[in-house]
Amino acid sequence: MLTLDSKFSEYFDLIKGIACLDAVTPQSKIKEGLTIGEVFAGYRDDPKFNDEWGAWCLNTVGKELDEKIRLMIVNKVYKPETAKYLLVECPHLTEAEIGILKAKIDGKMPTVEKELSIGVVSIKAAVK
Amino acid sequence: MAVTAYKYPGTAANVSNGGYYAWVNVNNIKADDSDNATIVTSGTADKNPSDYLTATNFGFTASDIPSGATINGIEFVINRRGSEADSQYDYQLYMLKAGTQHGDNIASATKWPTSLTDATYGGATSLFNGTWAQTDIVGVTTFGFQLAVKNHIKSDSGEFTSVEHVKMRVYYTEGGATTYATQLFKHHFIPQMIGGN
Repeated sequence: MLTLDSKFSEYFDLIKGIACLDAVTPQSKIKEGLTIGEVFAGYRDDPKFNDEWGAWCLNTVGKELDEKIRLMIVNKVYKPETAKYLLVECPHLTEAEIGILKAKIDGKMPTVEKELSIGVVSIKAAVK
Repeated sequence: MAVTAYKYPGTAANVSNGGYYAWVNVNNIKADDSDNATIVTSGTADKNPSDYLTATNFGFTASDIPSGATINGIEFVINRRGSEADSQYDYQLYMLKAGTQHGDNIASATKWPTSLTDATYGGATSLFNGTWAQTDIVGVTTFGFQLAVKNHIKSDSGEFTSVEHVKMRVYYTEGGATTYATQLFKHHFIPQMIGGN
């Protein structure tokens, strides 16, 4: 399980075989020795943050990331479309993450809200 | 409450939404026949949305929705399919008021089926968190909606997404003044003119 104190190189090893080249190339240039916390703080503070990257990260390698990293990404999701995508596609969200993401679609995607409420579509994560 | 007949769009267009995947043969959505508007995806359709398939100019007239009527709801149907199971889905679906996106994103989270199937949006009391007057709809060629889609599964070459037709109807309540004038005309003036009471 990777934490904010883990080396970024460990995260990079995790994604380099599965992420697309456009994402791998710039991340391969990140200075050695930095922690995930230090690099992800850059993502967190980026006003042009691409929340689709956040969705990809949570969906693809999220189960290898600890709660604090995941929360940093979940909190940063701003498009209701991305929040909806994670709710119906990501198999490993926690109850807290589901709550945060649901709040991001509340009042913004009425068809999805209705579908979730009547069970036409389901939240993918099986929260225990 | 009254409801109009379903109307098909008089105008269909591809409108850029990043330019990753453009719809072709867009005019095929204007009729319920066997012809489709289509996008063919490859590579990054799981990350990048399609352009907007835009349907406008539904041809509602004052005979369909009388002047002064209150708009209660809007309902439309998209007859669509995707080539892959559990992949294609609505990404953004917006009403267009005077040609500009208006109200909520009314996209559904339901994946598109692999055979042509109707998806119905809205209904008798749905205004999609927008405000609508009769004059926003009747005789307005820029009234309509637009749809962008995405794939859940990363595309191999040659996967496609199709829309066969779209149609729309409007729920309304006739305005009080209009109703009174209509009643007066029908029950008083017309009989007078033809020699009745």
